[in-house]
Amino acid sequence: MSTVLDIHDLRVDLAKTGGKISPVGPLDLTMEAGECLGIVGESGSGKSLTLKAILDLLPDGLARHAGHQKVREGDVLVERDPAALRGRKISMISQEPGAALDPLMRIGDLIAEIVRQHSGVSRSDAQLKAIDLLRRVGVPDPETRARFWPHALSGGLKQRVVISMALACRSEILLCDEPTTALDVTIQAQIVDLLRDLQKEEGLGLIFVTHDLALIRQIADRICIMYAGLVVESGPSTEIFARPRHPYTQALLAALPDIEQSTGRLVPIEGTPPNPRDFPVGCRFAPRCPKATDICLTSRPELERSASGTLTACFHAEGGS
Amino acid sequence: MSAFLKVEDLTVEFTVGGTKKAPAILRALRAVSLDVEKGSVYGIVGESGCGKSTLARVLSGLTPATSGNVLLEKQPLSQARSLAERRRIQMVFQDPGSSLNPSMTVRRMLAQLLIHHSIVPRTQIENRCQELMAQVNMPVDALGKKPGQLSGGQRQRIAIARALAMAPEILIADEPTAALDVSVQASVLNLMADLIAELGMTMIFISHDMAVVRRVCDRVAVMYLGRIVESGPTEEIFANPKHPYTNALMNAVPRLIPRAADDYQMLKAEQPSPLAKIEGCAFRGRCPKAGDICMTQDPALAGSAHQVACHFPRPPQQEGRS
Amino acid sequence: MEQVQSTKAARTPLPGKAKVGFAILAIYVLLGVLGPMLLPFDPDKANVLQRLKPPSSTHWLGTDQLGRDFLIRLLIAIRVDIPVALAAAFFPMVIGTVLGAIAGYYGRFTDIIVSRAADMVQAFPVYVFLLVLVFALGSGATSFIIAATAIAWVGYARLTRGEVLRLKGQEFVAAARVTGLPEWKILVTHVMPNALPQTLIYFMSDVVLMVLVLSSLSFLGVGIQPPTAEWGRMISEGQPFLHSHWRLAVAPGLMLMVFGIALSLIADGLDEWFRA
Repeated sequence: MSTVLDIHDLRVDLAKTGGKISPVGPLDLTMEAGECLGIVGESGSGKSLTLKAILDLLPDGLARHAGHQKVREGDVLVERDPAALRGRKISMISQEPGAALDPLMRIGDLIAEIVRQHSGVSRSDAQLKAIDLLRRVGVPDPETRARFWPHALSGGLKQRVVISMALACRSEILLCDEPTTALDVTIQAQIVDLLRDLQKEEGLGLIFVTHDLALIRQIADRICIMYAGLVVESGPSTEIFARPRHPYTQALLAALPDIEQSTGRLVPIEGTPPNPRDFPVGCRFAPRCPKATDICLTSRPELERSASGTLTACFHAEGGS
Repeated sequence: MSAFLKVEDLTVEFTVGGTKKAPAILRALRAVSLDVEKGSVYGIVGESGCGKSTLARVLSGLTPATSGNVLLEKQPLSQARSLAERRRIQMVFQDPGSSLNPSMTVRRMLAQLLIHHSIVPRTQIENRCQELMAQVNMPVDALGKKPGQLSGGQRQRIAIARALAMAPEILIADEPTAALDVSVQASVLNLMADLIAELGMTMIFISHDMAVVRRVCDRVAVMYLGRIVESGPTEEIFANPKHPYTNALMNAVPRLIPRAADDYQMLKAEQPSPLAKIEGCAFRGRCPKAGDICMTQDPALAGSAHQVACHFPRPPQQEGRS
Repeated sequence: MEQVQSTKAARTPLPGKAKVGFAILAIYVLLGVLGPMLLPFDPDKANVLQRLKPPSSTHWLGTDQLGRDFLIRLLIAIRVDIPVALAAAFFPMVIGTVLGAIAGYYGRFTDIIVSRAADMVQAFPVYVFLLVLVFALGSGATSFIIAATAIAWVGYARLTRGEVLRLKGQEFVAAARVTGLPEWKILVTHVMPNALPQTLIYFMSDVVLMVLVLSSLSFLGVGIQPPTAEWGRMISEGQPFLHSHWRLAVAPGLMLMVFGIALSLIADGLDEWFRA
């Protein structure tokens, strides 16, 4: 059995409302060993909150609920508390790597500290392992860089250091919350290459959140498209891009400029995403959807499997463009 | 080719510390030259630290140049711009959340400018404000709102209306869609394309988003560490990049539509610090083709329509790109 | 064409506490203006035969140690304390805000002068400085206002300078420059409207402070001179009678306290309102 993560009925509620207002969910997430699961959505879709909910790292005022959250240990799936998973089985990197680095510690010491916590080796051995890890994530001249302070590093290097910290934890799954959004495109390419390499060589599983559809196509094996807190379409990456079935997915693709195309008018999506306090009763995309009919306004569509293996939540899903 | 806007050897240096004897100098722009034809859209692309934002600030009169000239219709623009000079060149900033005054209604902001530049008589101000709203596809009741009551895309339209209020001849757009959501980007880009076509404006479009630049711009200049390394007609640059950096940049951008060869020629290492004094070509530390001459001689921009600053430019490719 | 939906209400309502504060303030003003007119007594004229009478149907709060009707003195003190305190906060606000704005926006030379002047004033202990000035200028309302202005402008100047420094780095200021507006216009029409809310809130607290300072000075014997009724002086004069007729000292203290609470509520409420 190759499923390493199985989350059912994940929800993020506004704590004070006692479950009446849920910016995210309910949604299910599953992940196979060593794969990259991409979560794509615009701002307000709840993609970042979803990731934070997996490790219960939500900001004040938001509460997490899940039907179950199981990870694989040995041969079985076991229910585990998010707090027990943090920094062990599951690690996280985010858009601001600098925020994760203690400014008063040299990066070599930071990594060595984590190594010692997880394997109890001696201080000097931990230092050597730290340098090893820096080399593994492609930091040039790691012996010298290990003595650097975080503020002396560029954005790309900081991100590599944070990734090496996740490796030091011996995590099996890495949650990536828009880790390349703040980086230059050539540096983004390097980080993406590193993550794919780790995926292949170390079997590191990735859940990668971004708003960049083209980037997700490059890195993810399976994709979930989120809108207004729900997954509206999911499936193998190649399938979704070749045959998008949900109107929102189709609209997104029509709105994006691709570098390979020089002409053709972009088609914007009119309107704005709904506020969690005002989520419509029926399908949340219906107010902006060109295909919406009466049923879309009154009932919420469930995810249904198509012949090609994609799940789509739409009453009018079809073979796309 | 008569250049409407001409930039000549523009250099901008900032002193950012160090000592009096050995000051630390940040070279944001190094002898940048370019020609912009009237009515065209000129794109400037590059990554962080390349100097494109500094160039925007010099062109819009916010930052003084250390040396060099900016000429509008052959007349050099003064460091302290006159009112008439200001009217002719306007700018749209990246983040409409911070580039609009949060305590001013749209109407007041526009009216202040219309009055200050004496663009229309007082009796016509309300009319002109409503016309501007129509031009940017916003309803008239937006005039009574403050930026906090509008969405990101709407704010950017207001920022565009502000620039248009003065009927400028040149519009500088500094990453105008970078802070917007994908679905909203499209509507703002469409608006800008329509305005360029209707008003015949000259535009300088600064962006790090290559896909957008390819659609919008007639000519493109690629910047790296304060210099222009390649410039030419957009299609030429995208189809046949001659500079190794341009090639790497194009290749690094993720694609929605898969290409035949979907791996990319990745750049190793990172940019050197803009404070460092570099001998020879600034790109040599990362260039897959760097030779001995690159270590000592800084290549000059050479060519006619399609210019490149490189000792070993890529030869034209046949089908697709390698 | 898009519909413009307000992503936020046009005006969030004024918080309840500010409304309560304003209500109390209004009551004070009403009492101060109308109260003494409706009572048939002379607040200043002593009538020793009637001294220290307890509350009765003629004198609702009794008489004070000089036989004057106590209630009318409490109310007429409003006509002294509130306007003087307002003036003593208003002039520093105007001067300090202007100086702080210029220092913050134009910087360099003006900043050096204003900041060093502020430092010099702040170097002195406040009450010492105040007492020295009042002794030099003589006692009474006018000297108090002048002395207060000489000292209190510093708070406003620092506050405004800080706000202006923060605002002038914002992109909308650069944008205003690109549109060709001259620097002074940008300062007055773009920067100051964003800086003033903080000043307003500070003003409210400052008025409270001025009332307390005025009362303290009057309590000490400088400030407002007898026989004019003023809360601080009334507290001082009521002190010897704390054991027998405690209302003479406590009532003016209560008037002071409630007034201070009202202004604090307004300041808090405005702060919340501006943040929203």
